[in-house]
Amino acid sequence: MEFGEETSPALVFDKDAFDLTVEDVYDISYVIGRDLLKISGSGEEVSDLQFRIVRVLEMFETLVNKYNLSLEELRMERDNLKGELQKVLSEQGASREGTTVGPNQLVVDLTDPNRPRFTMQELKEVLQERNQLKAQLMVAQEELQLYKSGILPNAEAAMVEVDLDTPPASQDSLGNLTDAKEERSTIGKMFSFRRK
Amino acid sequence: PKEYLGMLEYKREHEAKLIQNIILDLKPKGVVVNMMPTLPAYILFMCVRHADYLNDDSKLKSLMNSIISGVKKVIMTYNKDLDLLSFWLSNTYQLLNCLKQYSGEEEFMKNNTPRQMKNCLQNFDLSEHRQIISDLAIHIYHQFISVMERALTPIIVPGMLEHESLQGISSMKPTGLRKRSNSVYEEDSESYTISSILQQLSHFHSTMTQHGVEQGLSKQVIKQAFFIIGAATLNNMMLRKDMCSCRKGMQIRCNISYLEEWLKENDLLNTNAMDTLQPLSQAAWLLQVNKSTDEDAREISEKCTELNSVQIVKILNSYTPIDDFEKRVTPTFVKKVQSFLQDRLEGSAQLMVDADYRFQVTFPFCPSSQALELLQVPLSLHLGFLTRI
Repeated sequence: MEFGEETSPALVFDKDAFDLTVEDVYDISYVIGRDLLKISGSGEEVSDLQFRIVRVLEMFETLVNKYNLSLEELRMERDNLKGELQKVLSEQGASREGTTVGPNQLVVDLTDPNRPRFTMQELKEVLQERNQLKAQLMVAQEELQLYKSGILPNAEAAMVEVDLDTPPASQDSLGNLTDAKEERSTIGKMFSFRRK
Repeated sequence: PKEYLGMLEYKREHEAKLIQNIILDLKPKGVVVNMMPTLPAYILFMCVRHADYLNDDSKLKSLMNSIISGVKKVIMTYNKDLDLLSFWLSNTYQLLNCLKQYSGEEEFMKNNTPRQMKNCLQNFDLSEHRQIISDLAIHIYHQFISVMERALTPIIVPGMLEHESLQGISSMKPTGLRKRSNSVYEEDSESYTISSILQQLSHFHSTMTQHGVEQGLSKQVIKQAFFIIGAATLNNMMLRKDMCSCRKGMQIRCNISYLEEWLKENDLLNTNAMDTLQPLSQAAWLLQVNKSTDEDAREISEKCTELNSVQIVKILNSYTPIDDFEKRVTPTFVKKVQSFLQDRLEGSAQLMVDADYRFQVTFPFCPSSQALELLQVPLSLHLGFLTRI
């Protein structure tokens, strides 16, 4: 006793090829068989045709069967592999605090003191600032040297606004030192660098 | 193009394999049997023809006996399988017809073509084996009927008597061949309805059609099925007062009309199946008709020809009015009816119908126009050891 689909045999012809089952092939056989009975022709012609159709449908049955079996086998294999993968991952996860690592991901041990902490952007900014401070320091050191060697008159003397772009102190600029036209506080001068 | 003679040759040692593949292991569903359901019968007959042609007495006898015991074995092993029973009912009948058509006996040769004449058995008279095969066919038929009955029994009383389809507002028009499946449950699957019965009938009918059961035989099956339905319903009524009301009468007549419509839809009106429902039909009429005057009593005695007096009286006495306003059937009235029935010549009047009664099945000769020499043996039958002669 079968609980088949709610279709009459002829509706099998509307089905998609890849959805066919062996039962459908039998329904096809039944419908075609009935149609052949309606043909009145010389017995011989219809008979030959009939047996050729039988042969084709037999081959069709074999193919549909094979297709469905292969499909089933592949599905089972895929499900098995999925299951195995799940098992492996869950085992890994159990020993590694349960993280699943993707292909472009990095696992960081948070207890590691040498773990990476800063972003590229943060790093860029810090480096830039460091470079500037370094330059400032060099200039300050030079100036100190000039003071020490007596070239520059006084630690309180007005400082020059140093332009990092221009070449190092020339005679002209030294002459202008005494020009207190653009007098600024020492510290102000010290720290007022024209930025590029 | 080779001229074939319509015979199939096989080596003696392959007989067992032949029986195995074409009888014992053959499934009732497949490419070949769905397209040409009676081909197995023809193949077997073509083997028989060749053994006869060889004038080989022992080979022929062995083959015939193997065929018979092979089919018997399948029937016994799968005695509840409707598909297999139907398939072998069809093929056994076809084999029987072939044995007659090509027997060489005059009465069976009337419609033969000249070619078919040539194909007749030449050396042996197989009429005895024919008789055995005929008995086998009868046996298969009865087995089929009992499987059918077993399937119908749980749904007859609920479907014919208990389910009340008339009181609903929604149209409960049942459909015949709605599903190819054997599902007999309605959407409201708490009880079986008349639709369940019709679906079962459609299932039997389509199974027989699929297996190429000859039409006349198919009609005999349907007639028997209708008898079973009518008898079971009537017997149940006899035992239950709650089934003897005017409303029930109406319900029954409605269901009978659905059954008639089913016959019509399936081109089975000329089967005398409806006749088997007459007793039930009359009982239903009796429930609905007026039961008070003398004229009523006379009419009852005249109309209820298929019910005996015991049954008529029982129904009258069991009659249950719907409400307090409806009058009961008076004992006087019953006596009146009995007096009209007195003139009837009835043998032993039994209350219950013998629901096990089986109409005698017949297998009238059905010649076929099939030309044996045109038949081939498809590969999927795995009979490569047969040689087409």
